[in-house]
Amino acid sequence: MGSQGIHSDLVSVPQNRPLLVALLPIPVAFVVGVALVGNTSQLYFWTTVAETVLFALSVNLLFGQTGMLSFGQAAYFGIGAYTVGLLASHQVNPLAMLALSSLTGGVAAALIGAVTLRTTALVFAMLTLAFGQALYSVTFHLQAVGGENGIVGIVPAGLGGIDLGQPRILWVFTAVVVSIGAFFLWMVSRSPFGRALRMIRDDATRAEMLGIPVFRYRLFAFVLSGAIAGLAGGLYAFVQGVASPDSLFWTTSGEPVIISLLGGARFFYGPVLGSVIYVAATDTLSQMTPAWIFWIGLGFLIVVLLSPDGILGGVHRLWLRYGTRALDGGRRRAR
Amino acid sequence: MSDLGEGQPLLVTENVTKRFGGFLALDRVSLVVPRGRISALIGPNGAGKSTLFGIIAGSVQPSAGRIVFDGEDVTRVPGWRRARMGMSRAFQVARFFPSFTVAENLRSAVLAERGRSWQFFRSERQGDVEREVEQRLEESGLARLQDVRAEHLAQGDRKRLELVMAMALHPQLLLLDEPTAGMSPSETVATTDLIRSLCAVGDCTVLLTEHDMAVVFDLAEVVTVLNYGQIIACGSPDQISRDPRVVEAYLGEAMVT
Repeated sequence: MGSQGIHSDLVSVPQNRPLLVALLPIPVAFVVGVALVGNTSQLYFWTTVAETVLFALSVNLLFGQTGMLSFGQAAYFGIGAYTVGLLASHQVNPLAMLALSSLTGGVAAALIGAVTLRTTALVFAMLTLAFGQALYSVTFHLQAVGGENGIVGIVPAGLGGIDLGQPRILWVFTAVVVSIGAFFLWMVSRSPFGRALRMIRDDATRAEMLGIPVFRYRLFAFVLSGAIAGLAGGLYAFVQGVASPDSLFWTTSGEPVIISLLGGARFFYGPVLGSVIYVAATDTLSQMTPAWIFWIGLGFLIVVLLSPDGILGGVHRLWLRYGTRALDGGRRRAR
Repeated sequence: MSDLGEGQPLLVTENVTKRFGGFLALDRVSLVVPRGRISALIGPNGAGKSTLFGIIAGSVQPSAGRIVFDGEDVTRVPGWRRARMGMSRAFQVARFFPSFTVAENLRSAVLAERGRSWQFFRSERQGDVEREVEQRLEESGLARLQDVRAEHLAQGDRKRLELVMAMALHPQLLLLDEPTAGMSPSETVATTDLIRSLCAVGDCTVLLTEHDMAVVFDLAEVVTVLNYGQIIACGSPDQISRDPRVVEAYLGEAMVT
């Protein structure tokens, strides 16, 4: 089989274990390669991409998999960043700081989710935005956390004699943490729990009538997403050296949604591809023109109009149309 | 009714009333669903059948009255828990997971039934689950469509998929809202056979609504007639087809067509 119209939801969460294991050396070689030959700006670029990937994957657990659009995920990202910011001067172990970032992000998400998830999709989107903006406003005016400047000059403490201030080491450290976080999300996505989330996305009433407590699953997905966003925020504070109110602003919430749509929200790896393209595009364009946001928006519009399910969606459709046909043709000729 | 009362009925609705604003959709409906039988609920469009189904399944709250399932008052029990207790429902317009393939839809139901849906780190592909999915696909004749996205299915296959998913919960009570709506004559026969075979093997109780009177009189052992939110008659298919009030309210037109 494999002709058009036949399309498995499994493309959204790749499950072919032998293939994934066989492909594993590629990302490992990439991380080592960048660490060995990358210059400072390349290292900074890829470290930023990695930290963006983790944030985007956490948002897409809600958006792409559970069908929940939150405009306030910056809140948990920012809470994670501030957690690291406040602890950094106390020479706390970096791994402990990241664990705490994740914990504070998750706890905040549990509190806010328990309130906002009792509403409809639209009210949920608005309430998450409102909570996010409220938190932004508080940090902006709170001098104890640096006010509008935020906490600057964050330098991670050494990790058992390893200096994380070194760009090369910070890149490897970030890549490892992001890989662990991404692997965790991948495991969850391919599990029965992940299936239940996609059931809710497709038809919440049907899921409920099959015995799925929809509210609890949504809340749990929200907490998981908040915890991973907190972890990503903690990494952001390490990489950028700051925890600023900007990291809590609503535009920070919008970025991972745009990234997911760009890469393909229905695909587990959509946000990964989206992050690379988005960070590269903002980097290049912002050096070329002050109107870079306009060009980003235009590019995004073109991609979504050409392929509503993102770049991976377009590639997948092309594969169904031409790739499988070529494969079938090859088989027929071989016979 | 008395000849069917073998022990405690599986489901009882006690004076269930539902108001939508000023409109009285259900007026003190007391319905008894005997265990191990196929019961039918019939009545003209707008009689309140789907509302009553929603109230029984837990997706609609009644304005007054009680729902007793298997001896337990479930009026305030959420729908998902009623499903876990053994109620399973198919909708008038089939509901399933449109972006999943047929096999994935069925897998979703089997995973939920087996209480696996809180597993985080195991793959969803589990030997025993896959075997049950395969077996149910074979039995229902959906095997050839297993890799098709459910949203691309034809009307009859949609209803059938939903029915097979509902059955995968091993329900005590199967609620079927017009199970043969939109089906061709041959699909209708296949579906009634499927429902009957289900009740022959297990001790499953079925409550269905249906506009096709041939299906009702073929399958049901008890028929309840609803009109303007009130029960106007209840009895065996034979009694119902001769009841003058039923013929006047509903069957007259239905029998002719």
